[in-house]
Amino acid sequence: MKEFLESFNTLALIVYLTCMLVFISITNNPIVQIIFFVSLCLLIFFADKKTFINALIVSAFIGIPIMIINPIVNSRGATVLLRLSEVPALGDIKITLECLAFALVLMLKLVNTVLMFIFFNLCAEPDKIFNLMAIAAPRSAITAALTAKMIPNMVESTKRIAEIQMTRGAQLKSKNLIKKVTTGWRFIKILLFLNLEGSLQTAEALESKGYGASKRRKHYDERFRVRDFLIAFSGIMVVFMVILKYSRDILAFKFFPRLGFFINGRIGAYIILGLLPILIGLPVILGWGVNKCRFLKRII
Amino acid sequence: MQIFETNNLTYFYPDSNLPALEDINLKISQGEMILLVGHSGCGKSTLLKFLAGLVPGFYGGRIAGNAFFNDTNILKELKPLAPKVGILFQDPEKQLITSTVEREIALPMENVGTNHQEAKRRLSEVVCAVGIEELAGKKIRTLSSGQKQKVALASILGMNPDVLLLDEPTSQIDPISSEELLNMVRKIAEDSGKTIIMAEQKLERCLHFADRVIAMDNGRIVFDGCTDEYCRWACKMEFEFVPIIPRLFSGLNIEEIPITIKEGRKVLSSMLKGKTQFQSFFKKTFKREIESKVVPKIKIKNLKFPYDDSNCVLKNINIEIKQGEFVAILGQNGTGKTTLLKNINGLLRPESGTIEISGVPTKGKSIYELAHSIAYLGQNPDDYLFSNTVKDEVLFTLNNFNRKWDKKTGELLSVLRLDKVQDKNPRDLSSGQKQRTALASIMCMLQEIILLDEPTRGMDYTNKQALGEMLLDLQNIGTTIVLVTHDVDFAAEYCDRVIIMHDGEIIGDGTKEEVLKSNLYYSSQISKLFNGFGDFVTFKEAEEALKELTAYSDQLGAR
Repeated sequence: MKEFLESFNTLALIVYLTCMLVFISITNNPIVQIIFFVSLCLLIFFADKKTFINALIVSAFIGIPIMIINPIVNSRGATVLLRLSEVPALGDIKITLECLAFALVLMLKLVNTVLMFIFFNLCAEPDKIFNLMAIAAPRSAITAALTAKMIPNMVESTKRIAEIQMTRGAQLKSKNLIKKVTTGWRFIKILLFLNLEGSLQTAEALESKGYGASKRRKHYDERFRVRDFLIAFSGIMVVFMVILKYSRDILAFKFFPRLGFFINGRIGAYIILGLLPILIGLPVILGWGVNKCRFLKRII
Repeated sequence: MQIFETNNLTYFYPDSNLPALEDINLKISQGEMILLVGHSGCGKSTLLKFLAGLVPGFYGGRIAGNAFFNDTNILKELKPLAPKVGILFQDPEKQLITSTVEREIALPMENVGTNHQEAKRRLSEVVCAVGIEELAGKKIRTLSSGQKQKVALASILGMNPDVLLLDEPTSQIDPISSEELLNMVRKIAEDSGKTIIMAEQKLERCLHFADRVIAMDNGRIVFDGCTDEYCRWACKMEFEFVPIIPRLFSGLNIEEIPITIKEGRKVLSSMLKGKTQFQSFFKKTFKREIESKVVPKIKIKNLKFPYDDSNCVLKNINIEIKQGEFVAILGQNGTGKTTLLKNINGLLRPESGTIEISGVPTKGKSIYELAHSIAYLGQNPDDYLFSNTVKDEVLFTLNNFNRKWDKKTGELLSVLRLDKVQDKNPRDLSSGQKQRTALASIMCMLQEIILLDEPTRGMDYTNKQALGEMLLDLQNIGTTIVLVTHDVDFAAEYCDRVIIMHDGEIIGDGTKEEVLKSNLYYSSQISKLFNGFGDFVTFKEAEEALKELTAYSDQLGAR
């Protein structure tokens, strides 16, 4: 599956990613965001199971603080679920159903954005992105190449540094919060030192290979195949849904003072909710189809 | 035809008051193979980067003097000289940009706008020339360091440069890959007519095919001449960067100093001709006496370790290492040497078998507990350094073990020659000092055992010698030292015992004389030179033997 996902044209992937991100960022309906979340989870799960586990961990790290902090600091809403008085440092706290729903959507928006980038990372080959960026933004292409190298290097270095710290008596699994913070800071410091020095050498190597010296000539042109048209089209369809949603007031949702209807009854809302998982999941659906059907493989 | 010319070139890095290059006057002709030698930090890399057009363009700084490349003043534009000049750096990891071999080789050609047909032709040519045909379709991350360095070389050759600059290209790769890479460089030098300028520490592997040697010290050129002249000059001036063979013979009054083992054996053979009495004396007098040490410090019994179900990295290892022993573990990459060290200090746990430290099994003991008696130094000292001063780096470990800075800690810093730099930031120190700081940061608990993983990787001769002597000092106070290395000459010079590993098993174990003398590959330069003449393994023994032989010859001459 991963091999098929990596075969997409980078430009088509960027169109798909951008359109999906537009939809995620301007949709406030919890049902739509939940559908997005479930679809993206399935998408990543079928693409790469190991990445799926990591994606869930990342989502939990991002999502849980929002779900905790937002209802505490925001007291809007009419449906009070819990009242706490004179909580140290926070005073009186009123937790409302509306705020919980608002926090849920906020969290899902952020998590869906991160998951979208994780999926994009699974599909997009760094070399292809580099080639594409080298035409439009040559200096940013260097930054992208260095970042692409830096992340796996950091992952690799972390294990090595942890081993060394343990042989120097550092208690990495301490329950003491101050110790945890100082250990984390130490790790970041070593990782940054190692990787920034490494990045400088990589940039120097790239410069010595004539990067930016003259006009670039690509030797690996990416074809724009039917499969690329399809995923770009799925992205454009999602944007069309946004326009439809706004122009016809479909799936609009209000949080305050009381929660509105999740689905406002129009047929358009059901069409959007039905089509959305298919459009989001199209890359994986195509991959599955190509594996099962020779004809599909030939035409896309 | 002259390709490079510099006149009174002086360069300062930004924020530095000391010149990295001072008064450099050079004339380099097309097709020359030049070897650049000198200490770490003497300016070799800076000179190569200048010749590649990266200094001062990429780094900034101040520059004075004149420099010409093919009669064009290169100080006017300050930009990289690619594709005419290509440079290969030390670390293969850091210089590869793309994720597949083929794209990496094509990258410089894409950058300089080589047309598609030409690029395709060159790609297939360099892949064959560098011998990486089978790697062409592979992902970079799946390659070994040696293979990565070959890919980096192929990528530069793809630009078809007139000048090839190599900055210690073998310092981060294993000896077999080093040998292959240097042979490749030799072939390019001999067949292609390209100008090659190479900074390298493994002089014994490349001095013989260089046309010219440039020695540098403190940013200045201190010698510039042919190989033979260089050997004489370096021995006379006590400049350390001379391979063992010419260094050994330089003290003798012979016309042509041998550079390779073959030439050395020829000289030795002519010196010993007709002196049968001396030949037997040779073998008796210099037989090393091995001290018998009784207390077992590390005892490994039937050790097995797999990384996964199918692949057993360590297979039934049995070793007993006595207190105060200095043991070297040799073997190819991936034979389980590092895994063995990590099993000893508890970073990895054996699947079966036992490990005892001072008679106590390590099973059930935490890494923290084991770290009280075992110090472990990994391959990269930079992984250790994060504090603002050397002293803080040591204090971090001491605090972790609830210990305080005492007299012995101060003494340790003196033994490690760090007492004068203890208030400096460790990241600003030289590579040798960085490594000693890392060693101090793990040894401040004054452990009885030190495990070192490839400590000489990328080190110059002086730093290696300093490290060897420092380890001998530690051995003299009873420390047990176990060292994983590819550097056979270092093992021969400083260790007592040598263990050879292959495919997770021990295939050789004995005194260094027993193991290295009889081995075809893991053999020191000295033992190869004296093979069949005498049982010498270290430089000192060989030097003394040759002195005796000369004195004997003089006596015969006098009679």
